[in-house]
Amino acid sequence: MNKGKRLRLKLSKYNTLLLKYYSELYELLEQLKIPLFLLVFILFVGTLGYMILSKGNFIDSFYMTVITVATIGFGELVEGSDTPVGRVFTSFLALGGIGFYTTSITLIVNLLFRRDLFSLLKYIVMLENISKLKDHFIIFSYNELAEELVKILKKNDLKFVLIDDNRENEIKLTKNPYVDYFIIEDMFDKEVLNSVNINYSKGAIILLNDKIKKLALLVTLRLLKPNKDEFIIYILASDNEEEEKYKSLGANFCIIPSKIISTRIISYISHQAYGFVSDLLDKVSYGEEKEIDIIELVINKDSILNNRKIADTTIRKKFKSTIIALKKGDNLEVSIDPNTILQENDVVIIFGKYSNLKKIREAFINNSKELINIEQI
Amino acid sequence: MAKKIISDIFIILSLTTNFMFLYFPNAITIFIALFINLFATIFKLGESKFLATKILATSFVADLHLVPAIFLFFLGYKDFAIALAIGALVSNIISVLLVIIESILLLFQE
Repeated sequence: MNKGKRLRLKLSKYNTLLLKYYSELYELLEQLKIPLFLLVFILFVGTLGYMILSKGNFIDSFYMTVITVATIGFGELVEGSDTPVGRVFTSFLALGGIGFYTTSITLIVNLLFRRDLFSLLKYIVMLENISKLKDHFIIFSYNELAEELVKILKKNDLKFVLIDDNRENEIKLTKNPYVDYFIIEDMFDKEVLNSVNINYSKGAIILLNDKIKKLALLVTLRLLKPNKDEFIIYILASDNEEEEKYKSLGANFCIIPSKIISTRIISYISHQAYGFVSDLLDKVSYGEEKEIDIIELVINKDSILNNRKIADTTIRKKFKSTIIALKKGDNLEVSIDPNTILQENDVVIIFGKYSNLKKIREAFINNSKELINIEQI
Repeated sequence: MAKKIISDIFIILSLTTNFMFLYFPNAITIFIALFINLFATIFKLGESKFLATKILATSFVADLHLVPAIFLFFLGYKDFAIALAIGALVSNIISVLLVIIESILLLFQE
């Protein structure tokens, strides 16, 4: 038997996490049943009694019942309530009703606020939305790094779900304006991963600090999603040895924070005279610069740019952006001749304003004729 | 099962009492119709089987019609109250239909 196949975990068809919260909601509503029944029952008995005494005056009877059971007691306002029969009725209504009324109101308030019905409803709506997500990233653990990451992801319009197992982070996550979707659950649970729609997600970003947890999560994710191209895993590593280990276990990208920080410090030191340029390029490539950006387009066989001269494209004139480099096979050409012909599998690297690049990307995805000079079509 | 019988009785009672008010609009009939509807809604709270949430919703809609209807009736706007009660009747008919569908589904499941 194929070992890989045998080891592969299976995801269930149903979102069990959502079902769990729904059953919690039903349970809460079920508990509201008795206090609500008591409240309506006492209003029913009181109003009916006064209506009989006053020969059908509903509004006054209802008012008299409410002021009696709520211990307001403005007096005998309903016709017939000042008679001996009326007074006996009022006495018994007050004796039973006040207890019923206060007990049920206390129970209702307690149920709504102690269990917090509204945040439960909000959480259910969020889980419903998460189950509809597609092409999103799953971020594991909420820490300082995640706080920065979510800002950049949000800016780039990338969808993501955050999973953390620490209940203390719930308030922080609710208040964070960049986080639309999050779950506070056990992140190793298959059902939890199922409910964040892992089947339709693009990849996972593992920001955990604990080495053992990181390994366990990496293995769990790869067993659920064995295809490396379908599901991309980004993971933090502390050194090269760890990086190797994670890569052999199925991580696509390993990031060593200390290495990145030190190379950046070195780049500042070595480019002292041109600090602005290296800083700008750094910011652009890491997505920190808001106005300017760089994109890469891979020319495929059916692309409108296939077999066209660079001079024939509208990237410079119409979209006001510049092709700064061209990758042909393993060669990276940085001095671009306008007569160069773009071919299949070439990677075009374009530098320009964020808004213009967005338009280029859209036109490229739609294979729009906008990218080519009219005379050439 | 006993719970289901009680909630089903109240759902059907809310339809019949609602019709009773429309046939003979007076103080007592609207009062009974309103409270029976309120009890029917309360008995349906917390149920999660099949169409229970839909039945709860339709029953709640009937309450929302009858609560203003009873006040309008006693304030002298009888036509308006009857119009609202007709709305409640439509909603109650739907909830009875849903109860029937739910019973049939349950029968198939067994």
